[in-house]
Parts: sequence; structure tokens; C-alpha cells
Amino acid sequence: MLYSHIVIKTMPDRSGIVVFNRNTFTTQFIQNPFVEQLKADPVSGEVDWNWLQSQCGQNQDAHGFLSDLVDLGLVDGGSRDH
Amino acid sequence: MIIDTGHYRFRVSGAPEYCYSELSRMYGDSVNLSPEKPVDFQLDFTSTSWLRTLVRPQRVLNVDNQRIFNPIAKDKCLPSIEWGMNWCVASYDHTRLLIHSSVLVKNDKAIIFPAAQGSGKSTLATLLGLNGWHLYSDEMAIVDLNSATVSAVHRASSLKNQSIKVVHSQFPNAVFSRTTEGTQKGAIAHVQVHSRAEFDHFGPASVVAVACPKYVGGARTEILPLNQSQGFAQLVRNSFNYSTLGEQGFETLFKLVQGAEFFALRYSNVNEIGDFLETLV
Repeated sequence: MLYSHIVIKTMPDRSGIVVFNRNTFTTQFIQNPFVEQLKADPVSGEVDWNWLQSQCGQNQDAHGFLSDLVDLGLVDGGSRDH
Repeated sequence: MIIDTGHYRFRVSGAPEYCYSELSRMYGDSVNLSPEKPVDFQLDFTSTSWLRTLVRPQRVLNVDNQRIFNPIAKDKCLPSIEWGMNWCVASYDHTRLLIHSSVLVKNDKAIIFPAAQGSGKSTLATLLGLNGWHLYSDEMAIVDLNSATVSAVHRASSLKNQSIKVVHSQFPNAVFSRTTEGTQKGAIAHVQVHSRAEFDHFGPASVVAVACPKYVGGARTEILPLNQSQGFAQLVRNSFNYSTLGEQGFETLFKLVQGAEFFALRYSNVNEIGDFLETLV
């Protein structure tokens, strides 16, 4: 899976998105309108990358969220279509 | 002398005689408990030179035979034992998530108080620990990686400067250590908050709230709710070993955050804060 090095979770109170990088052990906090639409596993709180990527082509907020990840260096902006 | 704090056992040797009597008063039945069991950490004081045994005597504290700290004056060794114990746990225990905070528990529900030095967290925790709450730690929250519950350690509470007088004035019958003047942190004293018998009844507790306290002399009590993202960030910032634990630390912290409320507290009146905390448990 692409981007399997990061784990994305939404806070239960929808105050933000927390992203953990498995390679660097760093944690990033993102506040983004897409937090309201993120579908997370009800138990683990984890977001499914496949679902997220499927949203990017049709949802501007999802695209903006992915851009935030690119800006933070969490994913490679050039590798999405590979 | 062996000090059994629950999760961690320390052997202290080579310390000036007065330290042993002070530690015995602070730790009571936790001293030399189960001597047949192995210890986790060895804290050994040695002299730096023959001359320094006579002129301005000083000692150096070694941890497991490694010289970690700078030499200290002989009459300032007592706080160094406490700091050395903290250092051992924060540096070596990566089987649990450790957060720089005090921890209070009531009704099996825990509130943790992550804050920087000088915020008054130890004073607040000690005053409440001597007044009906269970003080699980005045220094670090010890979080189980699977359950995200916190557990207690049997340690004396550390007080600095004005806090010593504040706590002594309200609880003059509490067991205080002698005060060590002129340390890098100023005057330091320790106080026994719970006996070993009380500690033995302290089980794991779920975290229901995280409060970041800030004592401001003369200030009105202000309670500012924080969202979970802000709370998560506060806990990451105050953790000793979050980045060492990797994804396990991340998952544990997320689990802890899910069940907790978060607040920033600005206060000068401990009773008002105590009343508020009661509503959380």
C-alpha cells in the first residue's frame, strides 16, 4: 500500500487529525475541514488509506487534506499516481 | 538500603549516614522490603578524592557503576537520591509510557497534571494527596501500554522553596524530610504522602482527565477546556519516552486521550481547584 508508513487518526471530538510517521516516530497534528468527513475505524480511530485516496479525485476537502500531508513532508507529493 | 517503590526497586549505598535515616522516615515499610528480590537500579555514592573527604566534602552519585552526575556536596546528597531514582526510571523503562506529570486518583479515576517545572504541579498534588486523594506520583505518570491505565509508585513527594512552607503550614503533622538548602533548584524537602499499607491498595486507574496547572499568586481560578488535539500535543510534549516507543506509544496515547477531558488551569486557590477536580471523578 502506498503511504503505509503513516497512520492517520481522527480525534473523537473531531478537533483535528493526528498523523504518526512509522519511519521517523514523529507525530503531526493537522486541523483541516476534511476532519468532519473522515471515515475512521470506530475502534482504532484509524483512517483507511484506500478510502482516503478514492476521495481525493472528487472531494476538494480530501484533496486539501492530502496537500497538507504533502506540505508537512509526510507523503511524497509526486508519488500519488504511481 | 533497598527502596521498593512498587514497579522499581533501588539499592542505595555509600550515602552519608543522615540520608539513610531520612529515607527510612520517608519510605517506612518500603525500605528493605523483600530483600531476596533483585533490584532494578543501583545508586552508589563514592568519594571523588581523598582530599575531598576532608576539605569541602563531596560525593558523586553513580548509577549501576556509571558516573552520570556531577559531584555534589555531602550535605546535599538526599535530593540527589530522589532525582537519581527519577532519572533511572525516565531513562531506562521503555516498557511503559512515561509522562512528566503528577497523578491523582479518586474513585479509581485518575487525573494527570502534565506541566513544566515551576508550574506548581507537585504542590497541588501533594496538598490534595494529603487531603483525601491518592497521589500515584508527583513526578511521572506511568501508563500501561496495553490498557492505557496509570499505576502508582510509592515515592515521597518533592517540594521546593515556598511550597515547603505552604504544605507544612496546612499539614504540620505530615512526615517531612530535612530541608536541603542551596541545591540547583533551591531549597528541597520531601514529604511522605501515603504509607506503604495505603499504597498497596492502589490499583491501576483509568485516566478521566488531563489538567495542565499553572499557579499564579493572587490569580482568580480560571478553567479553560482544551480539545483532544491540544491535549494529545500536551502529552506528547511532556512524555519522557513517547518517541522511543514509536507506534506503541502513539496507540497508547490515543487510547488514553479517547477517554479523557482536557483542561488548562490557572489558579492560586487550591481549594477551588480541588472542588473542580472532584466534579471530574
